[in-house]
Amino acid sequence: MRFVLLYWILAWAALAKPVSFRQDIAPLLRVKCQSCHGAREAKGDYRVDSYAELMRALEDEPARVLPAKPADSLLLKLLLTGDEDARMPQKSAPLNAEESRLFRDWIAQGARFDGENPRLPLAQIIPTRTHPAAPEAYPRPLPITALAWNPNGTELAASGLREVTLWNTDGKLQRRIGGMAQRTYALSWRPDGKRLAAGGGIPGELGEARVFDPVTGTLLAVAHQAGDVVLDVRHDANSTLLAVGDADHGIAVYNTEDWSVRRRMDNHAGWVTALAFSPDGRLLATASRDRTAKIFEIHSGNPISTYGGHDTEVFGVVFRSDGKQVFSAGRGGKIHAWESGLADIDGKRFGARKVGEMSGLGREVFKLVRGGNAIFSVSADGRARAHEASSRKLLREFVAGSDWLLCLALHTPSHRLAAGGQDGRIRIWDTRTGKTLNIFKASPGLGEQPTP
Amino acid sequence: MLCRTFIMWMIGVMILKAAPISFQHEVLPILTRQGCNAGSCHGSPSGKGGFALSLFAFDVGEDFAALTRGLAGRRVDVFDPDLSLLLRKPSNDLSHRGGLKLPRNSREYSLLRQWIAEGGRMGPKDSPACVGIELESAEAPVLRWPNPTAQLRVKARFSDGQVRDVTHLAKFTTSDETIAKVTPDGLVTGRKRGQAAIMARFLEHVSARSFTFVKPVPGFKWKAPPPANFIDTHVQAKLRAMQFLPSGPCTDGEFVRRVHLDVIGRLPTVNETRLFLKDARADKRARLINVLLASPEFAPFWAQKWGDLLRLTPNRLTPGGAHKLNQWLIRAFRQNKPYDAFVRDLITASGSTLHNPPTNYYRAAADMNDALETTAQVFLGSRLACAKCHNHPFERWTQDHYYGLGAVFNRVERQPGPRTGELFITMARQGEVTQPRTGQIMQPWLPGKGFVETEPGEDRRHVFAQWLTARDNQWFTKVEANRLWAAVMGRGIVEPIDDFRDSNPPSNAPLLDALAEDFAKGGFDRRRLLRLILNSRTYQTSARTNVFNRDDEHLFSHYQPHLLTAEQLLGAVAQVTGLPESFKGLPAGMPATALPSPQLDNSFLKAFGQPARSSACACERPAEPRLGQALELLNGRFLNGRLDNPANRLQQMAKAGAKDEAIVVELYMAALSREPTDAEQLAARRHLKSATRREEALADLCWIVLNLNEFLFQH
Repeated sequence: MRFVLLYWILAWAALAKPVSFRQDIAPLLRVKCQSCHGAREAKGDYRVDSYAELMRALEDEPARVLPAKPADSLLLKLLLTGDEDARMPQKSAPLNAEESRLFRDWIAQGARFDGENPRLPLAQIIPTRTHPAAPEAYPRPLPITALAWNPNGTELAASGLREVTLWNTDGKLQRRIGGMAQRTYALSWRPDGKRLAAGGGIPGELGEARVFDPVTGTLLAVAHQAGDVVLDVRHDANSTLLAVGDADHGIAVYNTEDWSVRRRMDNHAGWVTALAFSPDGRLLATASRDRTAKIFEIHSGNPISTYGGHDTEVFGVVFRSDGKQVFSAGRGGKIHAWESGLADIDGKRFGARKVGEMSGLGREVFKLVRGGNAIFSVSADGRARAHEASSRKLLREFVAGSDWLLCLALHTPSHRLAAGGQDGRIRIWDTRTGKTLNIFKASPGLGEQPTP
Repeated sequence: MLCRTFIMWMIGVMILKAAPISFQHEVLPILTRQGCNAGSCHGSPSGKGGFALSLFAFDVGEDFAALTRGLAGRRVDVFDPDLSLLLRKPSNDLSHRGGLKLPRNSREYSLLRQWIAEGGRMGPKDSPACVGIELESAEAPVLRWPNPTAQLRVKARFSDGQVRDVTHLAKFTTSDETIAKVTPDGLVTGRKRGQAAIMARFLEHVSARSFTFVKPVPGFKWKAPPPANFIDTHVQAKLRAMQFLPSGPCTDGEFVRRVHLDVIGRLPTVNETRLFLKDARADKRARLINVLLASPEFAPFWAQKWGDLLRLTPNRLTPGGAHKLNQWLIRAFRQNKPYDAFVRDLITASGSTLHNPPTNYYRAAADMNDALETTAQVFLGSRLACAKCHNHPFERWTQDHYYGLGAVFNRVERQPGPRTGELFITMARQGEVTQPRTGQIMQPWLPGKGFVETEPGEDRRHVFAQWLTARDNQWFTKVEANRLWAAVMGRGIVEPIDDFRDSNPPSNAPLLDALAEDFAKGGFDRRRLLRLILNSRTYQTSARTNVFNRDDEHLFSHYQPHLLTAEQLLGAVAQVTGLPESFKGLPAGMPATALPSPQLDNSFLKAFGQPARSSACACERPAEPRLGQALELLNGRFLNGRLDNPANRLQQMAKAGAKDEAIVVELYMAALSREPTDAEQLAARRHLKSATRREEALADLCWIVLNLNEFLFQH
């Protein structure tokens, strides 16, 4: 009897359409299983966040997936059982017929891995997706979540809906670069101006960092993939590295030459919200929703300092121009100034010491950038601010209104500060005078005239 | 013409349809309904998975920000509604730790989706507010098999006078899952006979309806003695409807023991029992009740119950204050001070804690929060502490109510007096309470009456006390009537006795109503109400069950045996052995049931649940048996030290040359208020005879009787 069944399964498996792990199985595992069986929380000591983990046998137990033996594979049994208390995913609707078929066929066909490195997280092996096109005209103003000046200060890249929009200093739309996922949360020009990196994704599902030729709009690389949106991308000063932080708690530093991974840091326990290279390019400062900010040494990937003084989510981080102090800010309306390296343990430096703070910045501070000796910030109280880095005194306030300001970009040579808000407007100020140079709605098709 | 009417009608329909989904009145109730903002999920203080909502949506502004502002469109994406995490996760389009909470084909899903598609807006600020809800049902409150179902509808009243059916937005819960279930759409179905309250919540408004489920019991035939008073009438009506058969009356021996323990806290003496058993008069039970209520032992025993509620300890009130307050309580019970005056004295007390003992109420309740929470729990039977930080999860209490009640007490000032341990309770002429969430200054609030204006400089406690102790204040009268009932019946009609809420209905509402009414009409005379209860057949029912009332625990078809309290038990052991316990610093021979404050170093009292009086909660006296009790009974110092003590009553009798038979009778009469049966007598005598050492055998015999459930339990 068993042989008949086996024969039947084998025959059927041979007939069935080939199932790809990367195309078909990995996306299902990611979306259906990984929140309980991932690197962060491995219920039943079982993880499915990479092919290697999925296939791993636990001590004294057979592997959950037995190649070519779907009927004996515990994974399939638990997916298909009629016992609702035992069925996976727990407390959720069972897999539909097509999804069940994919799992059954894939195991029957040998449960093979069709990628290069079976240890890579699922999010990184799932094939690059093509996203729907951006709408011709936006139905309503889109909150601006990312801004970046090109190196010579003539163009401002802004986050759009499934695209990046490029504007000149008069607020005229120059070009639109499509192909982005739903939302864009971070933009970074390579210092030579020849590349534009954009980070974003689909909340809860996909994170991507894409690199474009900013003139032609050609997609050059999908440098990074993650299981949740990318929240920051940063080029280093030498144009050799691109750092990416995502809501999947991941940080990766890529070589811009071939998009190979230089370093991965998984030390944060929450969304990585912001990144900053030290002026000498040796260190990377990070901010996270896990209520800490950290400093990593890039060449080793080791964390050398963790600052926990915020007690709230941290959204922005930046080095002082001499690289000796870090400023970080988030919920609570304060910028903390701190230094690394209090304790020296086994030749490594840990800990961080707070040296001061700037307060009264509204309920939440979203982003920080440095310009010379000034630290610029944007807050939920609708203001951008400039503080002197060494004295921590307020230099100037830029009032946009009452709605949240979410992001900012500074072009130091031309003294232009741009800030994007929840109301969909971009405001440009002169940092020397505080004068408003321009306000415009950065949503294509909404036709509001720039007001000089 | 017809065509035009039709077009007008169509336009009308379109306008109605065009009303946008309201964030506050539709979206938030759905989140509550689907369980998203429950305390175990995103409603917990730190949220779940980085997403936090306010518990049952009490903070509209924060919830709106969390949904619409978190990373500009993560949870709510107005450009592509279907990509909103608010929809994708609970519908399991993406994996969700909380499971499937919002099926894609559900009405709730489409409402949320529509709200997002409309722009995910808060809606106009001046939109009418919901001022209350009504829970309606076409069915009677008694549901019978074969069709024990009822459909509930929730009607919400708005400040513009509109009334809308919000059944599809309300959250329904049942007070007892084993008796009745309720579907998300408000269809109630009985599971077995009994009583359950179904509660509906819409925003911060809560309403409940109580249903009785009646299932015919095969072979049931109603039979009951004529009622002695209205208590029996109400109890029997309920039993008859629910098809439970009352047990017969208890024996005289059971009665004399039961009523002594309940009214004066101790066992009857052998002599008292003998006299009562011999008494041939028909009204001897009523006479005994009168004697006990008038006994000097009555007041200290009842004062002790109130000492628990008022947290009377020398530590908290200083020895002087504790002594004074205890004396005041004893005097109040001795003089039978009417309950309303008694409570007014406490609530409005001012002056020195040594001169005016009731002021110690505000010494025990050391700040505004404590004063209002204690007052609500003790006098209104409401556990209010939850509402300090958020709207009460099961009740209509909101944070506004909490701080409104706080405005009654916030001006109480406590200043040290010249004498050691003296405190002066005075009232400041000003000082306001701010609601921490809204920043609003709160007016004093009275349940059922609302926020009230007071004169500047007026003692708001007087306004409150006047409202509280009014004869028509049902909360006030019911809570005390229920407390008195529970004190002698072993279980409240509302249980726990300080947890009155719609979702915890009385097991016999007409009975509680009638008791409360009689209590108020009788001038808040506590002894009068006790006399009434004690004279009822219901109180005098046997603890033995029959086949038709075995399952009943709430409706008083039979007496519900319960363990003696720590103080009663210690006193009973002392009495049976004839060896009283002496307490440090107190007059010799003072029974444990008259102790002014807890004896914290007495392991026996502690094991049997003497409360430390650290809170006003009735729950401080645990009802569940504990291991320490068994140890005390098996081999405890207190018990052991009395069994083979030569001064023990039995050892003394033996020494005086009493016969075995007489000793056994004396033991049974003292401990159980009855003569031993022939079999018991025989077994006991055989044991005494066979023993080599008589003292030891007597100790064994005594130990056996003191470990009988018949001794340990009030029955």
